[in-house]
Amino acid sequence: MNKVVNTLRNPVNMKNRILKLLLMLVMVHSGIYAQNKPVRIRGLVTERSTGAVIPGVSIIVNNKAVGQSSNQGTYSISVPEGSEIKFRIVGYEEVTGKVKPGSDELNIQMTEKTSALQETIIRGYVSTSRETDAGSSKKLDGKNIQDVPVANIESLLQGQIAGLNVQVNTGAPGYRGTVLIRGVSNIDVVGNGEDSFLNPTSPLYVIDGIPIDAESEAADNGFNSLGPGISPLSMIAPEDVASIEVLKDAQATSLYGSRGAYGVILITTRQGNSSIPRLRYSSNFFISTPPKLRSTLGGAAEREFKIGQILKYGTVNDIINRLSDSYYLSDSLSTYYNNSTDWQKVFYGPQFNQQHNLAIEGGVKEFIYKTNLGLYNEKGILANTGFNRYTLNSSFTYKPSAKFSVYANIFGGIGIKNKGSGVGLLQNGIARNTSASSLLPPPSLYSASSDVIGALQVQNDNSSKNLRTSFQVNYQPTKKINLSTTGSYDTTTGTEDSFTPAAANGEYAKAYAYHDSKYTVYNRNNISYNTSFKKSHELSISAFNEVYIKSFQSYAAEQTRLPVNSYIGPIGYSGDFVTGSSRGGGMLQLTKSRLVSFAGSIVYNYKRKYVFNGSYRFDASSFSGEEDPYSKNPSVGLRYNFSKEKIFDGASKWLEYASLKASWGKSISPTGNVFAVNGTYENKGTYNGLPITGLKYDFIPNPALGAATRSTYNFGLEGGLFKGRISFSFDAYSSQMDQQTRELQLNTIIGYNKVLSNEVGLTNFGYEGDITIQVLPPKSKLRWVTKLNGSMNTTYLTKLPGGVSQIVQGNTVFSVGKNPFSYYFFKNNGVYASDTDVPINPKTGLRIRNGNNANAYFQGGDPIIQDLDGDYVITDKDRVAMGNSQPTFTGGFINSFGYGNWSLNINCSFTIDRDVINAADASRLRMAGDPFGTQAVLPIDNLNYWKKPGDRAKYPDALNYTRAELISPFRTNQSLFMEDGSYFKVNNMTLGYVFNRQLVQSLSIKSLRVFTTINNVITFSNYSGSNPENVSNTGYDNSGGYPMARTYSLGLNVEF
Amino acid sequence: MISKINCTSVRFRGSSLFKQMMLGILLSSTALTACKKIYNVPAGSDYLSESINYTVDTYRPVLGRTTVFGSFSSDDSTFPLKFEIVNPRNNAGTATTAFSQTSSALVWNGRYTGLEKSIAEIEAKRSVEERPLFEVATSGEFILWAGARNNNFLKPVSDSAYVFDVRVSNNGGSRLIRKINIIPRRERPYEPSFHIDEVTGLSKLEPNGAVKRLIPAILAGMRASTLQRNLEREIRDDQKKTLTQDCWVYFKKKAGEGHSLTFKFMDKDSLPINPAKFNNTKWDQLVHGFNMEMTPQYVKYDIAYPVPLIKAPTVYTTIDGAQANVVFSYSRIGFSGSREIGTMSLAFNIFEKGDWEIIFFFHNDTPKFENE
Repeated sequence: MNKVVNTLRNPVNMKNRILKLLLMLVMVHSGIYAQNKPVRIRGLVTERSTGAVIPGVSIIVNNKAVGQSSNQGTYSISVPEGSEIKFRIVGYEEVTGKVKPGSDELNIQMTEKTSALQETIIRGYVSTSRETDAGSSKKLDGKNIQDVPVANIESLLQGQIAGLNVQVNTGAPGYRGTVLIRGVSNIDVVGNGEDSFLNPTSPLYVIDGIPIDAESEAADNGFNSLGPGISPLSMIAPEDVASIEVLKDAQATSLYGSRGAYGVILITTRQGNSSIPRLRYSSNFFISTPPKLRSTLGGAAEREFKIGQILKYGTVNDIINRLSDSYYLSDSLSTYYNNSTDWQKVFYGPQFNQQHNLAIEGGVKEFIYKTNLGLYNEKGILANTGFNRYTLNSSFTYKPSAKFSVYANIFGGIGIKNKGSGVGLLQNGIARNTSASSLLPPPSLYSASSDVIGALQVQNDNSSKNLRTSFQVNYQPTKKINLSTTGSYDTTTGTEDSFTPAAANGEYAKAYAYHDSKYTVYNRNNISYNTSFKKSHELSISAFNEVYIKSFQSYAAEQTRLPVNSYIGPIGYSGDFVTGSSRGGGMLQLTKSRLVSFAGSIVYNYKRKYVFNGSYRFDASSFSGEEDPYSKNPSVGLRYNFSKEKIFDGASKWLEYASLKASWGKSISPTGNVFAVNGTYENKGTYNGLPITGLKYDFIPNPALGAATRSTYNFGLEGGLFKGRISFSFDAYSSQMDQQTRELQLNTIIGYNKVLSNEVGLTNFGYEGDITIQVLPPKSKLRWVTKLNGSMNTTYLTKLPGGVSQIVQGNTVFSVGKNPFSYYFFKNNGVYASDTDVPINPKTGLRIRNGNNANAYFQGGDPIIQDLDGDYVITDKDRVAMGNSQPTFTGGFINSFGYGNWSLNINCSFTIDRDVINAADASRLRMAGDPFGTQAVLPIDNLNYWKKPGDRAKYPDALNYTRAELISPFRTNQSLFMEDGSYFKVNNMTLGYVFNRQLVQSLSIKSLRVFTTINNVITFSNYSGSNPENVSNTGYDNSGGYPMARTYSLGLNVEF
Repeated sequence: MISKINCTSVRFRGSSLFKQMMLGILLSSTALTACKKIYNVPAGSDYLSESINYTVDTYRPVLGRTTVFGSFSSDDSTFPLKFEIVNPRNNAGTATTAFSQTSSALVWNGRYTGLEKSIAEIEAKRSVEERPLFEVATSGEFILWAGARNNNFLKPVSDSAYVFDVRVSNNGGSRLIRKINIIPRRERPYEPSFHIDEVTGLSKLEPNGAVKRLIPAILAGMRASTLQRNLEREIRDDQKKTLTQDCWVYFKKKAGEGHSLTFKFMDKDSLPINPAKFNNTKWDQLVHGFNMEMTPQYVKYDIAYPVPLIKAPTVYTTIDGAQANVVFSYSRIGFSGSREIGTMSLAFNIFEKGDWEIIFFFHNDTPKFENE
């Protein structure tokens, strides 16, 4: 109608139209004529973005399949001349082509389906369409995380998904960074200051329908991981990943129970999907290089610096006695002390590493198979550290009829990690050594310190062996009913063997052996019913039950005095006559638990326009107290696909789809364990000759421990514009967590040390959004896709145990109404320019002083630490809550370009508004003020520190070493070292080239791609330290941490 | 024509609906921003702990001296805190106005170094302020100013204490710390004063009934004139159960408004010893005084009170700076030609301004200054 009106109005249009009509008539005529004449047409089907060939594409003419593309992506069919040919394959947009008259070749480029609305997503182990789901989740194609060789795929998720905050805060190979979905949910900070660590609340990972624990059981906290501590996530080869879906809101996660309260990440590995067997091989050779190491004063420069300092500031005793007793300073002529050793070079160095992956996949409809073999080998940039991985992942799907299918999977992996002499994330031994004085002789047979030998010669072998088998049987008795059962057996054994030679352990060799084993038996049975009635109503009901049986035990034995280096043993027995040389051996941990769950869900929609979701799950755990063992998870969601309203019918040009959604969910889960509720019993000696058992006076039993609750709201808008050129989503969420647990120290008069209480409350809310834009039109030769995502998260502490509004734990303060944990620091207001600037107490006439020493009066060059309480003495009372160690904004910015055979990917992420503590600068300044110590001197010329009276400086006098013990000017817990840790990081860049088919065909290669990647390219930040990301999850830039390597890799993908 | 208009208007309506929805989203986002209110997130206020307290609840400060005392335990409450003395009362419970009396108090506003060259220079570093006799500072410390004297602040023995409460408050709330006792002690204008009873102000008695003497001077290497012996601070005879001393010290304040300090030495006949006989004494570093006047009877300085001025170490004080320290010294040739150094030192405080005399009385035997 519209067209006709247009035509009538415009005579020029009308003329055109008549012309077109005539042309059409001619063509139809020739078509009719041609249909009698079949022609043979050849061609090649390739993927538009990468240029890779696509085998197994169905070729359809007149609704009849006439053939398939071959292994090499080629096809050859015989069709009536001029017919329309349709190319169709799962996952790609259908393409319709027509051969030009006179030509017999038709090459097809297919683009992947990008419409997020029809995307298949997984809810409660059941596939569904995004169109009928109200939950908030984001799916990521496995291709986005390939090409970059890393030990743990989690680190590649950085910046990819809004609301998923990944901080790669350690460079240690095989270790996990911090992964948080929508902010922090607990305040369990262990340790203090630089060595503090926030216990992770990791999301639940589900690999191919089997839930796994991302935390290795033995990794009790990040700093002191026991045993190998290899996360199961480090055992996944990135090449084997087909897709990753991150579930964020309660509607999406509720069916995973209380374990999914911190979000759920679903990882789906690749399945065979081609009737022609395909063999894919990819390899990566990469060099990891240490970051720029800090510059150090060497040899004579260091000696002169230190002596000059002593002569200027030292007491008479320092100058006369201590200086001459410090031989490495005074005896410059001794060859033993006449060195300029570069200690950093001893420990840090570039490493050459490799990664290989071989996948074989194929099968017909009735039988699909896949096998993936992976090898990953990375040596750490720190001497004597590294991570190796060997994996096999194999799966089969057997589908004898359309109603019945069996899927079986077997995964085996071996991970080997070398921790050197460090413990987990910290490498304090090496940190101590790399900052050793350059005057000390380099490591050699006679001169090395025990730390050096420890770092270089400790034999530390950690291995984790993981075997996971699973199966799934699916039966569809009628079209509406689906029954399935899934089971898995997952077993992991971890061992750590560590040998410290005698020279590194006070003349006696030491051996430590650790062993753990863990298994999980898992079963899930699912029934679902799908129906539609009156054409516009669709209803699906599903229910499942889940059973876990888990067991974990670990043992260790240690012998601290071995007879000789070459004889490692006997372990567990004191071979030496010195008592206590054997630390003995025994069981460290033993847990066995069972979890039984029932869950049901209902999805209803009307015309796929109005959608209602509801679900309920409850779990019973053998670990909870007996009174209320059930955790309950209800959720409700609504979705309104409003672009399907009639009024948008005319808007299809620009509006592809748009939906609004809202969801609510609650998770109520018991927090206590049997020990917290009932107490722990132990042997209490004998009474009347009989052995007695009594309560252990550590934790007082708390039977009143209730369930923790978390309720979450999510509101979202998502849509696609301009035929898929732009797609976006926006979510606003809030969640309220109540009755979270926290250990409370009890008053000494009570008799017990601690109680587990659950009164902590937190609330967080935020927004997240992402937008994907195909910047250039589909016809353009240059392809450019840009993705931007960002999230904002604010968290508040709403309640603390005992109704108090503040708890101080070391240098951390938990304060109700503020962010969950702030730094509890001294406020630094600069540096006293001269002695006369130091305030005088009018009552006593005394200058302000430091609390630890009655004569520690401040003077010019000392930090101005604010005396909050006004007593003119700087004590712990003068500390104040400041800063936030958790970022407010995180996100990513990803661009991919393609031109012809070339492709370029640039992957960036950012973190904004986070306070980090530059403990590294603090220690650098402290090191400059310790002339008698055997530490190196790092140049501090670039820091504005106080040099002479009258200086307006940022940092206190670094050279006057006598001040250090009096007033500790470089204490880490002052605002001076708190900095903005915002950064923008170019995570990685990949440049790829696909060889022309003709070129590689002669080698029987289907496709060949080479690429080069730089990982951890560059970080832009105002932070004055080395890397604002390489900090602990409580915000401390600890100089003992493992620095992040930059890797350069050269890779190859071949498909046969 | 009509149809076309319809189409566009539909389109227009469609996009306006879209706009409305966007507006709705924005509004709901704004609503979420108000989450702090929805979820009753308590306002992030300052913290005032339930368990703030003073670790000591009864104080016995000595009158006539500026004393800062009181150990406030904040239990990590957020400073600044406001402290207020509430309901000052007598021990019997009747209200008192003693705390609100004011006096001129000397407050420091410059740094005393011990290097000042005149009394005027010292006085320039402090000023006089009108202050209540007893007050509480922002740190929770109590201050009893030197203006609180026997005549205006002393309690009778029958009702020995003042009792008061302290109200502590900040944004996080307010708490009342109840019943803090302050028992003022009589003025003792100088230290050491262990010979004076701190409650009655009278001299204590020795077990044998004699008046207790002040014997703080430390004597070293001083020979007696009559007997071949050293002068001793204390001579204890356990068999005879007697205790004798060689030097008694007297602090005497003369009438008048001056500010001087005089040292006198008396021999066993109560005759003055010429100070010049202490020939090894560093007279310029004896006390932080000026205009030294030395006569055969005494040595006198103009001096700023109290002595020492502040509790900070200078050349005139003990190592911790708590007391002034005078050292008198002489040298002589002993037997067999050896040089012998005799020293007498005294650590002391004087809290009250005036013309003070410190007299060293060698009542047993006179020191021997002459060579052998």
